[in-house]
Amino acid sequence: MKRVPTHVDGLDEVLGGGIPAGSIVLVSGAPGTMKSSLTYSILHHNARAGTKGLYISLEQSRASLLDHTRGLGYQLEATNGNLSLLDLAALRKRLEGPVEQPWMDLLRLYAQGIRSSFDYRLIVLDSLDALEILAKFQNVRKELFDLTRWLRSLDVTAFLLAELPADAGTGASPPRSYFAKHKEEYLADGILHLKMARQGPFGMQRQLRIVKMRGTRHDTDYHALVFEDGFKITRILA
Amino acid sequence: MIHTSVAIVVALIVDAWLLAFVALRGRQTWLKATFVVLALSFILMGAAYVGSAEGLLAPSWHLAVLAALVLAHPLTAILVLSLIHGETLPRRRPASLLLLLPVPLIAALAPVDGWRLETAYELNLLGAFLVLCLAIALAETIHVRITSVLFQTESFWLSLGVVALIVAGPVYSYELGTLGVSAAVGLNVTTPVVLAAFALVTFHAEPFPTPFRGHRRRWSGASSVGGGLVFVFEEARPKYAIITARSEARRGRPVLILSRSGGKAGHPEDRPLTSMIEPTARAALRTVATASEFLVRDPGGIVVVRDLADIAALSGWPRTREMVARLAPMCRETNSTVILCTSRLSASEKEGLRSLRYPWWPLPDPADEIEAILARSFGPGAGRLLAAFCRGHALRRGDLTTDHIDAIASFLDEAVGDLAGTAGDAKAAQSLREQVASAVSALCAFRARNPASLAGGDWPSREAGATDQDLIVTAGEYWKGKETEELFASADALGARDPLYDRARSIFVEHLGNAGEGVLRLEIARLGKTPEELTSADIVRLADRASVDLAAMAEVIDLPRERQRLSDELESVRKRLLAIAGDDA
Repeated sequence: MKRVPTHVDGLDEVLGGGIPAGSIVLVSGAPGTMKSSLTYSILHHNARAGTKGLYISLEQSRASLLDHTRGLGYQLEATNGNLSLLDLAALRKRLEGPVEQPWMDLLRLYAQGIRSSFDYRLIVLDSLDALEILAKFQNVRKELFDLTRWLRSLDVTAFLLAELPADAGTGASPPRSYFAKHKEEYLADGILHLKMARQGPFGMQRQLRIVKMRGTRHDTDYHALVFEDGFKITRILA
Repeated sequence: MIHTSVAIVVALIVDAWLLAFVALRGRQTWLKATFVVLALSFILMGAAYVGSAEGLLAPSWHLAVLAALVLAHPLTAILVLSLIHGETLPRRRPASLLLLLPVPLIAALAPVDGWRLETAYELNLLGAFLVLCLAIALAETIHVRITSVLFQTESFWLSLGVVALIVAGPVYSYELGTLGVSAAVGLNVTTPVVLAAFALVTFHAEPFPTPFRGHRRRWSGASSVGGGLVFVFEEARPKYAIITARSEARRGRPVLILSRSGGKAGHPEDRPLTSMIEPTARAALRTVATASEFLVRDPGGIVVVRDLADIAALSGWPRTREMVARLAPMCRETNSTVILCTSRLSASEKEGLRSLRYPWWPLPDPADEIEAILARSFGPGAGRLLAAFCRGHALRRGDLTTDHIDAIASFLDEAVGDLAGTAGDAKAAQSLREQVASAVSALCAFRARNPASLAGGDWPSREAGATDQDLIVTAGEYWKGKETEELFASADALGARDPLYDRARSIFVEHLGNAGEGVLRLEIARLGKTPEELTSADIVRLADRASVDLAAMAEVIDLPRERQRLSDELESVRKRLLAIAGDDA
């Protein structure tokens, strides 16, 4: 099975070499858990290795995202043109109006149009929640089903970012419904859950757990997610 | 520095420039790779020679010079064969690569047998191998010059390159040997001429600019047109060729459409790759190269040559015919399909094409067949119905394809609905509904037929009694005549009602896919209007907004090519909106 390396130190080992190519992976977590940074990092490293990627931002502007990722040491110029940022956040401001906007159709127009000249293999949608609000999903589960079906037809590895409440999954053993709002976990091939865990009376630690990854044997423990010149995961010490 | 060294350094600079030029600008992977390795061999050969001659390198480097010389000869033969046979050479004639096999053997034997650069072309195993390689290259160029009109010009340049190599190689070495001068034996100062000639042919046979994808596995799956064959679609307008291309692209089969208009052949949802035939006398040669590059990357795909007549006009029919003949083996080897359209070919050109004995499918014009099907239900008024539909959707009759059948069905339903609402005769309305349902069902059945089934010639327009117009007019019952006449009037009114919104919508949808209608509604709402209230002045305002507001749609993309494509689509929307506003005024 062909796998897409995440280039996250420790994570690829846990995943047996990376994420199975063509998977739809839900990256869910509370605000501040570095969902965007982590997925951007995956795209960035793969782009440097020659695999084209498309990052679709519905919330953060291109300038803000680039500013943020440069701060982490990821220079867009280093990707040799293999990473494209689609700034739909800017378009959102320009298209505001009194009637419903065709966001799902626009998403397809861009993603498929770009595919014809830029053969990307990885795509990040940041975020599912913004899309749900913008596209005014009437029947959320059906719309999400259509979205995942369309993503599969693109034959790419997709990362869908999903926002969870800050207090979600803080229990010792979170129920599955904490990983997604609308049971989209059933549609995704993989789920990466990110959370902030309390460490002692004052400290907080980012943690990552592979909740699900089809076609992969993996442990389901939480791992500490650390950023030091790049992401890495380590075992959690008591 | 001795004069010979200066000459070789100058040659090296030119070689390096040609190498960089081809490496950066070339579009064919195999040709580019072979050219680059050949140029590197020449450069290594020259540089090592100058280094040794000027005392900068140890004498042991003569072995490197000899190795580069030996490698350059089979590479020359392989490059010449590749330039003639294209990217598919390793697949079609893998035996040619066997020329590289003796290189390591000869390199190993060189120190044992005392072979040196100065004795490279003498009567021994090494000399025989080098001369054999040059002879293969020369023979192939002479053969192609005699047998091919497509390579008439290119074969001259190839011959020039090979002859230059022979004259400055074995011939010059022999002369120097005869004169007893051994210092300059073995080096070759004509390498820039050789590389320039080969680079020229490389660019003559360059594929048209196409956003090729990476190499993929051979496609295998269900298809409406078989693999390994060249099909000729005989149509007045290349409609079924494009319909087939789109339907195959929707199945996931790689499709390339070669046309004069280039890259706007499909909606984003089902877009095949498109390539624009550039107006050059070498259009036929470049078409072969484009198809070859595409099929090597996407074996099992389909190449649709939509504007074969344009290639014939640009390159001449003899070259075009040879181009077509060269596509057939390419198809067989990659299990791919080529579709040729006879649209606008002259009668003699069609005859020439027919002599190649490819599967020949005569296909109808969908517009005529749609009218014939409607005529079965509505008699001679079918033409009037179709004209009303075209008027309402800003279409020319010639543009009608089976893709419009859903829109025609909806148009007829709407016309009957309007008639039922105003006529107040339930029986008449019901009768018309049945007629419309029957026509729509026949239209859908016609749409479901693929080119293979239509090629048999049993088209609705040819069926006996299909247009039994007299019967409908004279023997029809009173209500039937009255109903259809009223339907035509209703359709006329529908065609003329609210044309601006429908026409604007069709423009937006054509250029922006499904998102187009939503974007149009948003823009209309921003004008403070509803679709029903649109006037010509509003359309002009919409066009103005398209160049400002909608420009943001392209600005959010950071890929120059895609941004330009979307900008072009939006500019086209603007121009067409202005055109319909002008028409309406």
